[in-house]
Amino acid sequence: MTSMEIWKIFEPDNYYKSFLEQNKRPDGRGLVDTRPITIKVGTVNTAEGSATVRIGHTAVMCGVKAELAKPALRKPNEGFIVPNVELYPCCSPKFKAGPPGEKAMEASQFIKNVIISSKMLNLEELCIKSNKLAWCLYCDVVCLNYDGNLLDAALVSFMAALQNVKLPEVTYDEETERIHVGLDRSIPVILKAKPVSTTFTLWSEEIQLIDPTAEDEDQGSGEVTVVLLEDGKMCTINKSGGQLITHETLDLFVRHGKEQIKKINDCIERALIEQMDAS
Amino acid sequence: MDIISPEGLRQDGRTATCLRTISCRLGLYDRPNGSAYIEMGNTKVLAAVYGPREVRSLSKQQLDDCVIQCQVSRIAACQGERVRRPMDPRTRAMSLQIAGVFQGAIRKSKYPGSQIDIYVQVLQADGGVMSACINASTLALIHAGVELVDYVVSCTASMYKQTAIIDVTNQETMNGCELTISLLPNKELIVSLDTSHTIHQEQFEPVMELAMTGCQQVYESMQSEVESYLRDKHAIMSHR
Repeated sequence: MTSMEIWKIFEPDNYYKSFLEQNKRPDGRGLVDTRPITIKVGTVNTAEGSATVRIGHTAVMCGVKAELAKPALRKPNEGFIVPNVELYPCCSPKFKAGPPGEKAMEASQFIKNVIISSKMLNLEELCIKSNKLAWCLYCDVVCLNYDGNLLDAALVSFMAALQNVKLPEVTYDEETERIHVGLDRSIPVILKAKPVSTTFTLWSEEIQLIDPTAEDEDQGSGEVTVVLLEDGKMCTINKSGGQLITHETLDLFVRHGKEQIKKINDCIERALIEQMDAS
Repeated sequence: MDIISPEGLRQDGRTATCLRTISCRLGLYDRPNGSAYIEMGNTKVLAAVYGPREVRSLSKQQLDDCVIQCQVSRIAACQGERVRRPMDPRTRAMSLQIAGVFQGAIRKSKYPGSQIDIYVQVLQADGGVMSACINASTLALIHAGVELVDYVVSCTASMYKQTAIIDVTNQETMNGCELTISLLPNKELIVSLDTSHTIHQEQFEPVMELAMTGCQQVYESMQSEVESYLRDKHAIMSHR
């Protein structure tokens, strides 16, 4: 064990602080540098749409399964979309087996919030026959390796998987009530907005870190996630407690977030084209 | 629909005694002590090993023995129908069986009073899930540096009419039995044997024989992956 590692174990706070004083992080990045991101779509053939995303060491996978369901009585013209995030002990020793923990539920709720506030989907397009038949898209995000910044990774994989979805053609015969499902999957889901999120860890009033690793998250106090649409419009901001910030800092976050939009959407686009060429 | 065409080929173009392509990788992640990924045709499985570490609950601790725990979970999109619960009685039974297999294969006396956790995640299921889980766990344990008596390799086989077929897909098990065998390839000892559905006693012998030859082939591809991993790793280490 090197002396640096010993120092890290005995005085984690001091160790970490000494990096920040040099405007660096233990993994060598500056405070406003993001980790490299790789996206691959169509990784699970059994799903209607799927994507695997790696941000640094964080790896998440999203699979979209489509099922036919009866629309809710209250909204007879609308289909459903159900996002769900799972964190198994496989991805990090921090998580226990059993029912979903707080972190997983927070992430599920976050994606649900983004879907609603960005109005990315017109749920009426998922309806096949009013009051009778509609698509229900189950979007399950699984974390394969946890190294911080779950929310960004989950949203990117969710967006990429959703753009990869191909639904079969379904016809509903009203008289015989028979459902006919076409053989080839061809109909894409039309997205009206492509939100991109950027997460920052708050360390102190002056120091904020973009795209935090698990270590950054442990050392910092609270995260802020800024979600912007592709034209730069604000979608949602998620700040659950932690360090207090001024609105100037928030402006700074939005500016950094704007830089991410094009980068991430281009990356998804490229992955989709790559998959199209391969198939 | 015939499982074997008159020309003797199966749906995916294999002959009766041909395995699906196996590709595996060691050491994908740095967080767990050992991790591995295996693809047997369309069946994709990820395994992570934590340990040997301190026993979590003191009541389970045995001073002269090692506690081995396993947990299998399936992701929701892994099969045709969406999996509502990632862990149900079936995966729990699989977990127990895998833990049982490695009770026999890990040199437990080397790790007294400690615990080894194996977490397996099924990413895509297309027949032979159990054997893919066992193979992935073996690779993850090797990557974690846990001492094993021997590799544990597993393979499936089935019977269609009068022909024994190896490494069956989901479709092929629909109306036939599925025999999963796991063995120590160098010692040629059987660790676990599991059949689903009925099989005639006279057909059992050829099916088992075929599965065992399949295991040896699986072993070869796993062995070569481990060797190439070690070679790469050694190259990096000697570079420093």
